[in-house]
Amino acid sequence: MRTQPRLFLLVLALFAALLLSGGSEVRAQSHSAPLELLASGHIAIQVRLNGQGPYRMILDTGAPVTFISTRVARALKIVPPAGPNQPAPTALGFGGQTVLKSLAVGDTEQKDMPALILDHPIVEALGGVFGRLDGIVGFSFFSRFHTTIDYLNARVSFEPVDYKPEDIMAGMMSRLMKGMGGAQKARVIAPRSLWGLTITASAQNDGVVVNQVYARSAAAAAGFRPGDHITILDDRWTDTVNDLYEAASLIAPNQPVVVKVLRGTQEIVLTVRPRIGL
Amino acid sequence: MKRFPVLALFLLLVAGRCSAAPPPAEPAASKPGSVYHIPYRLEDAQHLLVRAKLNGKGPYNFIIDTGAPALYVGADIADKIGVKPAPDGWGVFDRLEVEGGAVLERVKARIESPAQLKGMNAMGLAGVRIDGVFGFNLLANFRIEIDMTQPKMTWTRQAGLNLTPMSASESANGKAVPTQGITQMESLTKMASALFAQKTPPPAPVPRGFFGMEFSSDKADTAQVAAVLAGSPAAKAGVKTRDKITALAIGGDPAADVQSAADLMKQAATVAAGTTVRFMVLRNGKKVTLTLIAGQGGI
Repeated sequence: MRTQPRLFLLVLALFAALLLSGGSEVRAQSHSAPLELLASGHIAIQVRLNGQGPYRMILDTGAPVTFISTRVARALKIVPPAGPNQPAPTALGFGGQTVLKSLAVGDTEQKDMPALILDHPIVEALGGVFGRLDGIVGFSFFSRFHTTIDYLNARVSFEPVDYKPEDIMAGMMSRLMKGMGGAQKARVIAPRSLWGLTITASAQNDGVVVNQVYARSAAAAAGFRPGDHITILDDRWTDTVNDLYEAASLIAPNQPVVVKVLRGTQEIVLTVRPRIGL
Repeated sequence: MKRFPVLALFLLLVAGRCSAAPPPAEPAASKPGSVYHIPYRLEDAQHLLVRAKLNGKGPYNFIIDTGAPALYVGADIADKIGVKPAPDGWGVFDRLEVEGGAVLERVKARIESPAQLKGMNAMGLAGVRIDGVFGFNLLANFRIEIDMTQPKMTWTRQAGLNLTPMSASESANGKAVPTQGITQMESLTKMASALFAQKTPPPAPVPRGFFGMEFSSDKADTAQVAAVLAGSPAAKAGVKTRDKITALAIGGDPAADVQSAADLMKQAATVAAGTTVRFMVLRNGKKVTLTLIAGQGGI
């Protein structure tokens, strides 16, 4: 397709225009608010935007971004920033990106929240049945909190934590570029600490088996033996060699870790304290 | 029209669905009050991903999605497991085990891949293949705590909630449901998927090579070897306790200075097994160069 490179550039340019400016300052203590469980199983919460509202929005852990409807954007007098490549709102009321001064649920408030202006069709469809819905609260908000979703008691709570979501555009663009480009280099999975054993896939290819345990290593101290079949490392399944490396890549040195092994037919729980090294 | 691809990408990222027929409530193997620490990862498109085995097969990758009314399992996966959907599109998995230990029995699932998932997989947006979605009828069995500063979520088994979601059209009581936008969204999604389809899937990750040397601190401003594991690649290369590693050269790359053990581990993090690495070390005040071949299968 001849137009594709140009179109791709345009898309990247639009991505760049949409770069999410990082939100900042959390002004909140821990807090809980009611949630409304719609008959469809969706969660609606009451949200104040820029001190106005409340608005009724869907809490969606599957949405990386936060959306507000064009209706709300108008009510809040948000005008998308003007620019040479800024056509009028298009399909689904897509009005580009904005930064809300504040998004608050109960007593929890997040300043400078990036949001997209969009009449999301699913929100519109649900709204048509369950009453007006004004948007989606996604990862860009809830990831900044220890978020608890309590379906049974119909409560949700957001306690601030020290986490700032990354710019989703960067990740998506690099992924798209990589996918469209030529050969990619394989990612290397690096253990974070030194255990002192070697492993191989089992002969039946049904898991990972210890080959060798180095003398005076952390693994030797923990009681690993050659032939041990490692099944779970720190709650993570180790069905494959890569699984085991992925799990080990998360284990900091000098931290006790529980490992489950099958020795013959016996399940044994070992605690290992891997060391600084490689 | 110009903005459609971007818009479609955003739509793709929102895994939410609104059409689903009602599954009956399912009994569960996990007991109320049980607490599970569920490992997760954040994939490239910023979805929370967990792994689960269905009827003992897998593991498969699922997105945690409160915006989905039900558990969705891709038709190809269900076929592999041998679960056939009923004519209404629902299937039943006898046992679903989430990594971290939570188990549900007789779980109802939509056997289909939502358009957004197909698109994300076609474009490789997530950086990993996504096999399905954990939605309401599965998630609402638990109180779910998500904290990105922790490597695991906390799920507490709860019981007593009616887990039968209704689709928008079912609960509409004859009222018209606006579906024009959804049709539009799906065509945008298809367009973006075709436009940005991944030519070659990324190669499978490979384990880092093994060295076999310990350090007493990763904060100290020298990388001084505290111990060498007997028989390890480091031992074979002639690395000795108390050697100070000052630089390393990976493969044919030029040598780079090493500031600390942490710096060494960072620089060596991409060394695949079988790679030749040269170390410049200070031993009793003398400069020595050692050549090590990174080992296979060691951690």
